[in-house]
Amino acid sequence: MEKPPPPEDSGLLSATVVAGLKSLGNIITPALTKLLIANALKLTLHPDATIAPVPELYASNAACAKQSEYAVVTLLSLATKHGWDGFMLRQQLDHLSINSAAIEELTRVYEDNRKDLVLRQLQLGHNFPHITDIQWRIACDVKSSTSDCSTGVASFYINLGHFRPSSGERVTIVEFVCNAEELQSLINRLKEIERHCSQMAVA
Amino acid sequence: MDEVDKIIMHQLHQVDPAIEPTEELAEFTPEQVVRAVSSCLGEIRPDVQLPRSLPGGAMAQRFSVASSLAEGCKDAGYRGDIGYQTFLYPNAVELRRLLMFLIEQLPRERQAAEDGVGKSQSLSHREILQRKIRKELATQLKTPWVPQFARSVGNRKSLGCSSLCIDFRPHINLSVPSANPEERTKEVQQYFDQLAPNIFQQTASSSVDLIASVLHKNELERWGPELPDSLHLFSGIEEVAPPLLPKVSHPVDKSSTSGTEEEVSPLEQLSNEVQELRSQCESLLMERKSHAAALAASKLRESKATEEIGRIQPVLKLHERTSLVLADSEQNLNKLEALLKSTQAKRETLTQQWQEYRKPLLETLETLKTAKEAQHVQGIRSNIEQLEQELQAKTKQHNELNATLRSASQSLAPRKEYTRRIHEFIGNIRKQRADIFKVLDDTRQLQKQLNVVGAQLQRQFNYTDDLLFQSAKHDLHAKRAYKLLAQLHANCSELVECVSLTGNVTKQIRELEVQIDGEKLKNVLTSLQQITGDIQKFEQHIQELQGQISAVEQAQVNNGGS
Repeated sequence: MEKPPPPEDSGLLSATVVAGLKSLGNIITPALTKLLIANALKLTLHPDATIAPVPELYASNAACAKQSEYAVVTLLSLATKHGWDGFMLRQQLDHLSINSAAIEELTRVYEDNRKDLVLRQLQLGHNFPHITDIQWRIACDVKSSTSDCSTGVASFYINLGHFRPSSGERVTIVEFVCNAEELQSLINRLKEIERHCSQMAVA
Repeated sequence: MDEVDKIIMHQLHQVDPAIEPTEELAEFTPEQVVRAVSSCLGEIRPDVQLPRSLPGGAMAQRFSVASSLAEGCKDAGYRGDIGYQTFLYPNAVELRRLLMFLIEQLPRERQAAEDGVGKSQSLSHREILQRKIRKELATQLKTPWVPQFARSVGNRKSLGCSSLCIDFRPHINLSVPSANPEERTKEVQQYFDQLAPNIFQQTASSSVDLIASVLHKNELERWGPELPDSLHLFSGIEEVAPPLLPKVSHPVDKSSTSGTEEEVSPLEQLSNEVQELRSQCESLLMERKSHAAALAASKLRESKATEEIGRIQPVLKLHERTSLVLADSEQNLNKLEALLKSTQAKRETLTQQWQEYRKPLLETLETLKTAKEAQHVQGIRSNIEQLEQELQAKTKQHNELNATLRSASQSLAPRKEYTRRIHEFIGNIRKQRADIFKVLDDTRQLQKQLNVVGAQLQRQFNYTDDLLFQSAKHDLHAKRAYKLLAQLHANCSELVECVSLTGNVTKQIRELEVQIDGEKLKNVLTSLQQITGDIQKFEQHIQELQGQISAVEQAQVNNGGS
């Protein structure tokens, strides 16, 4: 049983990724290699779009194809993550002694789509959600579990949310109740923020 | 007008240091005018591109530059008369008006910005950051609204800022064929060949992300094999630790396990052992405590005994000595007396010696003290002198500064002077206004009187006319009188007309005089000369061009002929 090489030898790529890249252009034919890379890129850039499957990729040696798909996606992601340029990518791949046509194709695809890949990976991460939608209604309680009569106070039920980019479904981020006075003070604070922003911009 | 020009020059120099201040606006060359106006316009509307300088050569280019600047001034809201002539043939009055307008329009924050520019060489990182933030905010405030779903496309330029955040949620069990095909069993290989979903299918659900998953898996595979080794290391340490315990509990262990070996499970056995050990430990602790208490009591006794010994020993010594002395009392008494005497003599000599030594030392001490005081006094004196010199220098400096301040305030002090003058102007203007109103009132009253008199005259004339007409039918003299009256009336109305005409003419004359004064200010003659010069240049140019055209035509004709 051969032990996988230590991390410092293969750089940032795991053994599986290296194996997957090595089978490009060798076990997988050059034509299929091109198709596989294009397909992997498309699916990476547009995870939510419905893209027609390519059954011929898996016609022969499906395990290899699946491994290579994983390898291509990982390579592109890592290259984007570490800000490699085309030259750097080529150097890394040369170092791993991968099929030269495959290197050519990978470098070309990476250079052509570098900006899209960066944009795609910039979206990825943990962050507070942006608020892009607000819903509200005015409500008044008629009676409560402890009292039979209404308080007679109308309140604003405000719901701040956004739309999930993948499905377009609305997600509530925060929901709160306030009366007119509290709403006014909230609005004033928000206006203050806006004023501060424009002051900062012009000063 | 000098001061206005000075203010304008100062402002222009602040706007563009390249503009050389001259004494008067009248000395401005067309190049300087263009430079000044385009700098001002550039400050007022930084988004508009304007020519910065007047080209030296062709008239047509000069003309187009001047017209575009004139257009720019009109766009900035200048209402006065402006055109290419303002720039090419400047006259002081118009230029002053234009520049005053432009300087008033300059943005107010310039002043603050100016202060900042002065220190621009030593901008700290903080200031650079603040500037960047300001710039970014300004651009963000200016960007148009983009719907949420279009943001990844609409805000491309800013790289992100798309409000579309995908959480970094990896699929932690991504199944991908491992690196070595030999490692896989036949079933696994078959599974990967036929049934296994590819990574895109595995990460298709919205709760995980493809890139997060592959990055996660890659890191896991790179660092994963290291982890078991470290676990191994830990287990090794644990194995070394235990052997300390069993030695103590060995006999107990044996007795307990020998009897009930079959029924007692290893866990129970171990807990029993632990119990035993714990009780043992407790008893040992108790023992230790009692021993410690005994030790403390003994130590206390020991210390008391040593104390007692310490007290008794000096007393014992004293007793020994007294007993020795008392053994032979007479002799010892004599001895003691002799000793006393010798000691006294010794003491006296010592005192004498001491005095001898002391005297010169005291004297030297005295002299040293006085010397030190004198030195101190000297020091203070020199200090005072120094301070006096300093004071003189300072007073001199103060006087100089006072003089400069006075001269500066005299030369500058414009504000007070200006306000005083402005007040004066305003007072004058008020006075003039009152005068004008008075004159207007007088005129109105005169008009009224005139009207009244005119109407009266008319009525009188009508009445007389009627009367004379009636009597003229019968009387020959009356007829003549009537004719004379008619003539008189006609002559009088002619006279009135003449008077009003004279008035009109005087008015026109006055207007013309004002206009002439205005035109005189514009020194038309020189600009006319310039214009004629330029026109001649144009004509020359046109002639040249015509010559060239005819030469080209000639050449073409020749070519056609040949």
